[in-house]
Amino acid sequence: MKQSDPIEYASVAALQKLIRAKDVSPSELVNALLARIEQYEPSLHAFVTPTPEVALERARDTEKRLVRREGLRPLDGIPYGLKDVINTGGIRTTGQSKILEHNVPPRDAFVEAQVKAAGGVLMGKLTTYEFAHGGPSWDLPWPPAMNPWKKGYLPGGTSSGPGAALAAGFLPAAIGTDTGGSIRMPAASCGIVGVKPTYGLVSRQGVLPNTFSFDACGPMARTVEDAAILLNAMAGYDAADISSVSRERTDYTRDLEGGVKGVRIGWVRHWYDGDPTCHPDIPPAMNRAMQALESAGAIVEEIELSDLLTYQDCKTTISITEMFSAYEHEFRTRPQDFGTMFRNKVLPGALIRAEDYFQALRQRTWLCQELARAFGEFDILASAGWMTVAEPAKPDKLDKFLRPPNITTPFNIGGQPAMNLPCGFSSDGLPLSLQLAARHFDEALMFRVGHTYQSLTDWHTRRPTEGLVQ
Amino acid sequence: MKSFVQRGEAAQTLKDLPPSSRDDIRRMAREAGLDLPEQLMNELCDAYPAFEAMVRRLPRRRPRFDEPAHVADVRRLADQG
Repeated sequence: MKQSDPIEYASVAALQKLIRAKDVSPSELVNALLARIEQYEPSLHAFVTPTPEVALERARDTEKRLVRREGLRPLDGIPYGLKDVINTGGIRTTGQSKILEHNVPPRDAFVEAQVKAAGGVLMGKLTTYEFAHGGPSWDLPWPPAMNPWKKGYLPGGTSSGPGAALAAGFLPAAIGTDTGGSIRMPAASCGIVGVKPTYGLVSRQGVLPNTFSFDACGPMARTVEDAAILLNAMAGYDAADISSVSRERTDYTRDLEGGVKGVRIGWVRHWYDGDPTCHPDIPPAMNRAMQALESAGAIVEEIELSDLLTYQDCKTTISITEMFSAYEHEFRTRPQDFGTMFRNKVLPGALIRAEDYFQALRQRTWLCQELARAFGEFDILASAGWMTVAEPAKPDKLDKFLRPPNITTPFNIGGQPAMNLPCGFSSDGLPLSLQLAARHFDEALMFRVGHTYQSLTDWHTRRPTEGLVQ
Repeated sequence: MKSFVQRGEAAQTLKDLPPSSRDDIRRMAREAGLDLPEQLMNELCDAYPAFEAMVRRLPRRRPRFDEPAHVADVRRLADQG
């Protein structure tokens, strides 16, 4: 924690120490965060369902452990929020949709069970786009989240509530989902860290589906170290998830201080530099980020991969087909109950032919092999984390049916771990982001490179003021 | 700059086909069993062309033995029952 950080912006790592030393009581911490939420939530809409009673109950559990001198669990007393597509037993889980407006699941998603068992303190269910797709939408039962960095601006999506809540100091940790960049885009837009783990590392069981082939649950935090701490609690084999991979446990915090000397970084500059949709402040910020890593001992080399549209066409064809199948019953029986944006972006999936879907799957193999060749020569691939900065909210304007390609999507296609972290600010004070990706299940190296970068820079320590309106 | 892009015959696409008309889209929707109110059918007619163009950009002419990125692990599937 920075010396000047108030408790609302304390890191998970700092809070662990403070709680263990009894310098902060979990209940006091929860109450401080609840007060801040009460102050700023009316303008930010980060929560669909706050759970203050659950938070205080779990905080008191940690206090009892401390009194009884029981060993503390890894996340004891640490407040967190869940994107509202992650099932919570006995607590409403809506997918931000009228379709599930009153849905109360009977049991927790695997990932929530893991974090709860590690002692985490659930502050609430956080805003998303409808079923983590499309958006932002103004015709759903809840308003979209807004960005603490600038009034009237969006936090990116679809893990928009987690991004806004972390940047606003509502909580130090959150769990989002990422199918094409939905953890990394709000991380970029809100100046935080967002991690999409390797496909299969974190169970999707109990998470409302977007695209079975790509969906991943991942940690969101304000530092790379905190994201590593969270992933330690989240990862684990789950026989009930067909994609879950059984592996020996890794401590993702173990190698954080190992530096980057000799790490080979493939810099995919052509994905953003020269692209007409790229914000002009991004290429210079990326140049500085690559120089910083190079000066710390990394070996940086520019490389070429397929263009983003090739990745996006493949991903979106697969996505809308699978997503339509996941929500087909509701599309046939109550299509008017979806938001317009979701309907516009998923209903065309009904018209995708089987041969088109399979050609996209064959194209995915091709692109996976391309990425595998690149990771055969490089330890890390790096690019900008997003093509632009936070965008203004336009409730009266319908989003395009297909947006320009996401720079995050290639690593959903390939299934590699990828992470966005702050790497500067635009001339008008909005966060910029660096994306790092690693080989399958090599999150530890990705965290090591990210942590090294954060030890060289202070972008992640800056806090918003302009968008925090009472 | 080192390139990892594999270029080949697969790049053949369907992008030169004429776009479907609104009547075509309505017919396809009916054939898919969609019974949509008129407003929603109009939304679909507005939205679909962008997705049709996307699908038609997908490479088509692949070596016959190119596998899709999908393998059913039948033992795992059975375990879930």
